[in-house]
Amino acid sequence: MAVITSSYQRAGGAAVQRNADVLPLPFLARPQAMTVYVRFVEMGNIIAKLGAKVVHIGSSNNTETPRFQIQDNANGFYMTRHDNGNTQQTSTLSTAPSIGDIVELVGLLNQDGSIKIIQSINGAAETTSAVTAAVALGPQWAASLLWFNGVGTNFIGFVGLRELTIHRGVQTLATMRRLAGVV
Amino acid sequence: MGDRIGNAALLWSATSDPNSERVHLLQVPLRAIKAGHAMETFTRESLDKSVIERTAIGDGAPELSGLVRYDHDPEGLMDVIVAGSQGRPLTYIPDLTDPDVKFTCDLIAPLTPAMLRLDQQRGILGDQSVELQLRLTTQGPFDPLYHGTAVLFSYRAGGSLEQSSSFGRITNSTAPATYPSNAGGGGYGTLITAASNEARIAWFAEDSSVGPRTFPALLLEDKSDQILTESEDFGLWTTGQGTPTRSSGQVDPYGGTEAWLIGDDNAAGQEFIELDSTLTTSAQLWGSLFIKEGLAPPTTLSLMTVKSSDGTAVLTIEFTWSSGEPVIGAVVGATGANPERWRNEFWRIEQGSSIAVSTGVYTYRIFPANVSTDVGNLFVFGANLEA
Repeated sequence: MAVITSSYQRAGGAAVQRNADVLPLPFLARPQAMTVYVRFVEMGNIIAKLGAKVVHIGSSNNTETPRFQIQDNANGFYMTRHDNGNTQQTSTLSTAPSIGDIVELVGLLNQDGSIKIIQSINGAAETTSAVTAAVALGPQWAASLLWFNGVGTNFIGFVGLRELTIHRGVQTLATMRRLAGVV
Repeated sequence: MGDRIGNAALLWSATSDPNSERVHLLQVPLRAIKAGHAMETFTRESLDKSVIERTAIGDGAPELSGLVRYDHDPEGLMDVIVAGSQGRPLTYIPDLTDPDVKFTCDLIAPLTPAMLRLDQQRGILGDQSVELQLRLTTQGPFDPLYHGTAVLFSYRAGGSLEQSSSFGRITNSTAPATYPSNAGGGGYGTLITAASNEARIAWFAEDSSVGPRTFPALLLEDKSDQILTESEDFGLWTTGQGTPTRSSGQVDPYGGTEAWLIGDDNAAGQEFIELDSTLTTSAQLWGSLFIKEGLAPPTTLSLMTVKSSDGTAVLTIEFTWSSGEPVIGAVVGATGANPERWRNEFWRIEQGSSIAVSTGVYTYRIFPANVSTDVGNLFVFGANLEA
């Protein structure tokens, strides 16, 4: 089902179907206090409302845990999730970007397993979600994989990814911008 | 001596060694890390320097150099160099609290005979130092180590994706994938078709700008069904009403001449072209079209619409022109992105149906001049109807 206009597809005599982009990368670090910074062009996740995973750390199966995610909440806002296999916590923003906006999201995983997410749209002042309750860090992720824009072939969204940087420890947006080299 | 307790190590093993594993604990992770690359290349230049011929053998391999600092176990450090000189893989772990993050390397330099040097700060206390030049045994990139040992991952659009062995997206004539390049046309977006399994580095303009496109981004999209059977040859579209004029061979966003100029020259009635599509599964529809101000645009407005078989418009977008830029007027349905500028003064407009529509035949219509008493023409290219 079309949820948003996507890139142009040439047809000459028959209907066509563009396949999805799938991109897993190795991510060997264990669950720990860390900061995930992602900057992207909003291309429709907010309208599509598919629960698309902008960033997913874990296996190709979304139900397998432990996992850490930055995603849209299927209701027009971005959120982060930490699930250690027994308990999951989510933290959701209350402001949303528009298509074409440059979005910066910072997903924070604290040492006690609590999480929150920070957002800046087009470089404007940051907005922040509430910090969740603590949930113990798991011994390892469900798989040592980092996924952009989906989990396996599911929960795939629409983004123009500019930078993705993951740093040990809990960092501020300003620090992550410096580490990602965007300022 | 004020020891600095490092949390990094170099490991190797040898059957000739009585230890199950040799470990050289580093006082600090490798410092002053520098990126490098090695590849065999051969160059021949013409005498007048107008031609350079270059041949490279393979893709080569990234390398990294880093300083071992404050080392007060010089014999152990020399053993690292000896093991590397003997061709034994060295495993570098920058943070022993996270030992899965490790880099198995070949030592490129120094090889024996080698000499350590006194550490530039603590040499007076006997600490020694050496610069190691390393290459991963996989010949892959060292990211994120280039960015520092506390960086667990780092990617910037346009950077290496060699760490991923499984990027996938099959592209062929029945599954096309395109993206905007900044090559040619002033950087406003040249339409390019990606190769199969090729990650698309697309160029974008800042949200507040119509272009040129100034930054790259890795374009990642879900699958999409495009149900229009003819997206570019508007000569194969049906005459919906009247006798609209159609002229092929117009410049297009590819940088080619696949666009059309369509016109309404009847001041006594509407003229338009149309194409039917069959929707086999209920879905939300999104229509899009590349447009460019015609040579003689209508004084009122142009229109793109998609109607169901009972004549209901499920999506509509009206537009006029201001200095070559489309101005969106009345719409029906769900609004997506603002018009996006492309090469050769084209703009891509889009509009969706408000909800999922039922199966059946849907008709995509383009009106160069929507008001029946008006005339005018419009350049068009690349119609899509996604379901």
